[in-house]
Order: sequence, then structure tokens, then C-alpha cells
Amino acid sequence: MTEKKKRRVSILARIALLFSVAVIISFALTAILSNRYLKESAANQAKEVAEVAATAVLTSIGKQDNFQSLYTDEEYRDELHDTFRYICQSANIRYLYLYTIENGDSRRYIITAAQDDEEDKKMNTEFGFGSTNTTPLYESELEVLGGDYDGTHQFIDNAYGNVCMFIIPVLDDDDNILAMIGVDYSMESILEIAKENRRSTLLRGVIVIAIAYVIAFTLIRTLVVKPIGKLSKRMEEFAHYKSIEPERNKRRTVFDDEITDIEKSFDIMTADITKYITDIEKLTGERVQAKTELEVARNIQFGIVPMEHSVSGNGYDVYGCEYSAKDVGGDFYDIFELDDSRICLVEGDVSGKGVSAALFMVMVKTTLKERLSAGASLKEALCSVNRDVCASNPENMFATVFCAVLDKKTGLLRYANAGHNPPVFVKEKPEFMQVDSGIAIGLFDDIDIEEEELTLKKGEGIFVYTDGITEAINPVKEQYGEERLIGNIANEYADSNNGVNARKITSCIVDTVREFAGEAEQFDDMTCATLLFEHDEGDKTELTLELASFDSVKKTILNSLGDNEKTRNTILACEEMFANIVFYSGADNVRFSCERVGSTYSVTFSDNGKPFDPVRAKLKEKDFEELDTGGMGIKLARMNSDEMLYSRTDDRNVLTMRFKC
Amino acid sequence: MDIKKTINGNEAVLTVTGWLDTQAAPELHTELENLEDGVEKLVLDLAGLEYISSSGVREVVAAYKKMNGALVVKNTSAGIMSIFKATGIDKKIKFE
Repeated sequence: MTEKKKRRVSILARIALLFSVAVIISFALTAILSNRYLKESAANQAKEVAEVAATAVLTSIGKQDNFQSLYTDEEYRDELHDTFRYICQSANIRYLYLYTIENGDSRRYIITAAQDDEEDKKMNTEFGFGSTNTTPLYESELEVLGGDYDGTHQFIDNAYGNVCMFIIPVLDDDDNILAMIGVDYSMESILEIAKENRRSTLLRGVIVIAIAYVIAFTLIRTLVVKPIGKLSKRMEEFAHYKSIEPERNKRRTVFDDEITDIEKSFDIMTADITKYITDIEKLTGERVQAKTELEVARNIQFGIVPMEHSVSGNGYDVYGCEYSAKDVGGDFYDIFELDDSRICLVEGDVSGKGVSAALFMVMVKTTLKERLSAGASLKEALCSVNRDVCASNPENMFATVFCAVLDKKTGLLRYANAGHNPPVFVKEKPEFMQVDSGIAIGLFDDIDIEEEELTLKKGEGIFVYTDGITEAINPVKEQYGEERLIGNIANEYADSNNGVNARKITSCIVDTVREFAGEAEQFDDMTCATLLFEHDEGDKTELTLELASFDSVKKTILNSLGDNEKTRNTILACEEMFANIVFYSGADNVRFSCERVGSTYSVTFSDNGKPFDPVRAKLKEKDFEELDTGGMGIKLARMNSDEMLYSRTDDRNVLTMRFKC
Repeated sequence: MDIKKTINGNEAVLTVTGWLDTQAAPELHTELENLEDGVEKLVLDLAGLEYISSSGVREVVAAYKKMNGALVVKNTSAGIMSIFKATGIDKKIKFE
């Protein structure tokens, strides 16, 4: 799975962004709220100042007895005007005026004062003593007239400016309104001051936040981002090299936090993984070594028990094969000639599996062959091998063995059984042989093995096998069984139309077992062999010196290897050499035999003609024009065989050709 | 081995099938000997040939010589061809 590469945004950038957004929002909120608060507080302040000023004016007017003199005494008015102005200037009041309301709708001014000199002069000209102003009465004035004698406020924003007006009445002893005092407190100035205040407050705020910002970021960088970065580097390094130096890029801290927890977990994890990797490497190494050793064992075993082995000369046809379920097994078979006329077939199964079983098998197989080759009877050989095995068998292993010897001159088959399954008597109607069950080798040191005999007719033989054949199971756990075995041998025998062949019968059984098992895993070794008696009159290893004799050779090779191009090349090599013997050797007798060991097929011709070594003979390069006179045979034989061996033995030319198959 | 002969005017076609081994080679030899007069070109159709030995190859060379080179060998399988090549006759004889 490929992951799309995303744009990288560092944690620090994200935090900065969040922080900035938060600061902007809080600034905006503060601005909105402070604006409202500012107005309110400015109004309150204005009200207070206006009230204080009005009270001061009231006080300065003093006794109401003198009030009437205001209308007459100009000096007194000037004096009061000065007081008014003083109040204006000291309290930052824009206008201060004393007036009466005539007829309930117009104002008549008595004293007017302004903070500013110019304005004061202008006021005194426009709204001097006795002047009237018919601007409709303000609400606050009406309220005062209506009886609110403690004074009322009103905020006015007009051509004369933005002011907070405060109206308070001047009362006589009977609470009659003598006049009104108006105070106009300029909002502009107070708002200006407030704004100035707010600006400086904001500036301070920005500075404080900026400092906080820097500090916070330095802390986040040091405490969060850098440690995570270091950890991430360590992880990357580990992922890349699969190992890590414990102290490299490691952070030293005074206190533990969540990141320290992650670091600790990571350290534990890397230590664990490193350990697992080492363990797995070690284990794999051991396994590879074990596997190599097993493979070597298997190769050695194949040397001892080849996967396939066939021997056929006129008089007999033997074919054996082994398919191990595991790397090495304990099944075995052996095919060897005891002398010119007798061939021996041994089939065995060692208890257990693996290398120990294989070693035990090798011991049984080699000692048995050695005894039989030395001339012991089957009974003697088996009993003697049993004694040897029992003398030293620490693992208490045992082997079941069946062996048979066929005399190709007479068809006499002698056989002995040491606890192995009874073989199948291969004939037109195959059946299990009635053999003495005997007792397996390795169990008791004093066993008695019976040796029996049977005379085979031409085309008859025996099929020996291990229980891997009959006990093979299919996916629904059914066994191949003895009935199928007999049935399939009968079918193959019938199909072969008397041209029975050991390789075909054996392969047929192996194939039907495989087909039967289907998907089921092979759980036991399969080893089986067929020995057929093909005796006819006379010793047929000797061929008559005529081309027609090659027909039987061709038939034997085709039977052993099956018809295909490679086989035809094998036949070509044999035919060329045979024709050479017929035409040029001057022999009166030629013998033929063939053998298959594993994947090597060998054909041997031996003739008593004049000495001729086709392996070393120098071939004349012939011109095309001369080719119709021959001279291509040996060349073709050399080219189509994998190996040619020649010897002159007992006054005979013995030529063996080997073919890979 | 089986040999079939067809004559088309001055061209003869010999169709050889089966195994042309040492025993069968003389049969082809006889067939060549008995080739009608007036045949100027010989075609060997080897489509059904399964096997050839050196004696078979010899007869092919003999046919070439008899026809003074007017021989065409056709439908040769890869297996048979490798034997012709091994003997070197592919350099002279025309294969189709």
C-alpha cells in the first residue's frame, strides 16, 4: 500500500496558528467590550463631574436672598462669571450657564461661561445676560421643571459638540425654581483620554502577550517539540538500522512527563525487538544449518536408496522407487545381482522417521547386502543382521524387511519375511502372497525366520511395498487400502497385454496412490518395487548377430523409459553400436543388459569380436559424397549418449553407454 | 516404417512414416532403385518420420546423389533435423 505524501505542518506551527487565532479573537472581544465599558464609564465620570460642578455653582451663588441682585448688579454677575469660568477650567467643563425658563418654552440667560477664552467671549456675545434661546427644551430641562429637583442628565451630540448636560434648579426656601444651572461637560475630551488610556493599555497588552508568546513557544519547543523530534529521529534510526545506541539522541530530564513515558516505552520496545531479531536470526541460522544437514543426509540417502532403480536384462525386470514424505525417511529397497543368474530384491521399513531412522536403515541395508553377497541364505542373512542389530540398539529401533531372490534360469523365487507386509503376487489375477509373517529385525536377538519358495511363470512376479502405499489417505481420511492395490495391479496387468513391465506396474501404483491422496499431505514414505520374471527359453541376454535382434533391445528400452524424443536418441545410440557389432565385429555372440539407477540409465553390450574401442577410435572426417557408405554411426552414438565406457574383458568388448533421464 | 510414392509428371514424392532404422533402411534403398525413369525431381516428405538411424541418413545421401542434387526434404521434425545436422548433410541437401 502506498501512502500519499501529505504536506508537512510542524506541531509548533500549528500551536502558533491556534494561539494567534485565540489572541485575535480575545483582542476583538476585549475591544468590543471595552468600547461599551468605556462609554459607560465616560458617561458616569461626566455625570459626576457635571454634578460636582453644578453643586459648586449652587454653592457659589450662595444665599438665595442675593439672587435677585444678579439681575441688577453687574459686578456681582462678573464676579460669578469669573467663578464659573474658574470652575469650568478646573473641572474641564465646556459650558456653564445660569438661566431661567420663561413661559415654559424659552431660555433667558443670566450668566454664561466657557472653558475656552475665545468661546467664552463668543458665548457672552451670543448668549449674554438677558438673551433668549428658543431651542425647544431638552428632556432633562422638562424633567427638572416637572419636579426632579436633584438634577437630571442628558447626553447631547449636536453642533456645539458631544456633551453631557446636567441641569439642576436653583430653588428658594419654598422650593420654587428661581433659575436653572446648566453644565455641559465635554464628552470628547473624556473620550479622548479614555481612548488614550485604552491605546496604552492595548499596547501594554500586546507587549505582554508577545513576551508570553515567546516564553510559551520557547517552553513548548524545549519541552515538547524537541523531545518529540529527538524521539522521532531515534525511531527513524531504529527503523532503518534495526538497532540503536541506547544513549544516542537521548534527552536528560529533571521531571517525568508524557513524553518521558513514550521514550521509556520506546526503549523497552527497541530492546524487545532487538532481542527478538537476534533470537530469530539465531534460530533461522540454526534452522538453515539443520536444513542443510538434512539435505546432505537426504543426498547421502539418495545415494544409498536411489529414488528410482531398475535392472533389466533378459530373464528379469526389476524396478524400485522411493518417495520420502520428510527429508529423510526409514524406508528402503535394494536391488542387486547375487551372481550371473540370481537377482535379489530387498524391501524394508524402519520404525520412526528422520535421521536416526535413516542411519538405522543404512546399517540394516548394508549389512544385509553384505551377508547375502557373501553367500548367506536369506534366512541366515536376516538372522545374522538381527543379531548384530540387537547387540547394539540403544534407541530400540526395529525394521521390517522382506527379501527375495529370483533365479532367472529357473524362475525359482526364494523369499523370507521379517515382519514386513506380505507382497502382492503379480499375475493375471493378483493376490497377496501367503508368507510367514516373521518378526521385525531389532526386537529380539533370537528370532527364527522362515525361508520359503515359489516358482514363477513367465510374466509373473512380486510387488513389494511399505505401508505408505496402503495407508495413504485421501482428504476424507479414507485409506488407499489393500483392495485398491490388488485392483490397480490387476488393471495394469490386464492393460499391458502380457507385455508386463516392472516400471509400469510400480509407477501405476505410485500414480494411483497420488491421485487417490489428492490434496491430502503425504504423511508416510512411499517405497515400492516390482520384480518380474521374464524368462523364456535359453539365455536371452545373448542376442543373435542379426539386426532383428535389436527389436527386443528397443522394446526393453521403450518399456523402461517410455516413448519420447530423449528415449529415441537413446535407442539411436544403442542401435548404431549394435549395428556396428553386427556388421564389423566378426563376433558370434553379443550380450545385452540395461540398468537404471536414479536418473541414470545404462545399457551394456558385450561381444566376443575383434577388439575395438569405439570410445577412443579416431573417426575419419568423411566428405559428403562418401557419406552414403556409412561412418556416421559411432559419431551419432557418441553424440546421443551422456557417457561411453569401454573395456576389453575376458576377450570381449564390453561397451556401456549411460544416459541421463 | 511405411513408404508411399506419388508421381506428378517428372516429380516423385516419397512419404516416409514411422521408424527408419537400420532394418528398415534397405526398403527405402529399394524404393530409390526402382524409381521410374523420367523422374527429374525427388521430394522426401518426412512429416510422419519418428526416428532415423545412420543407415537412414545414408539413404537420404544416396537419393541426393542419384538425383544429381534434385532432392528436396520437407516437413522434417526438430528431432530428426538435429540428427541431419549432426551428420552435416544439412549443408548440401535442401530442406523445406
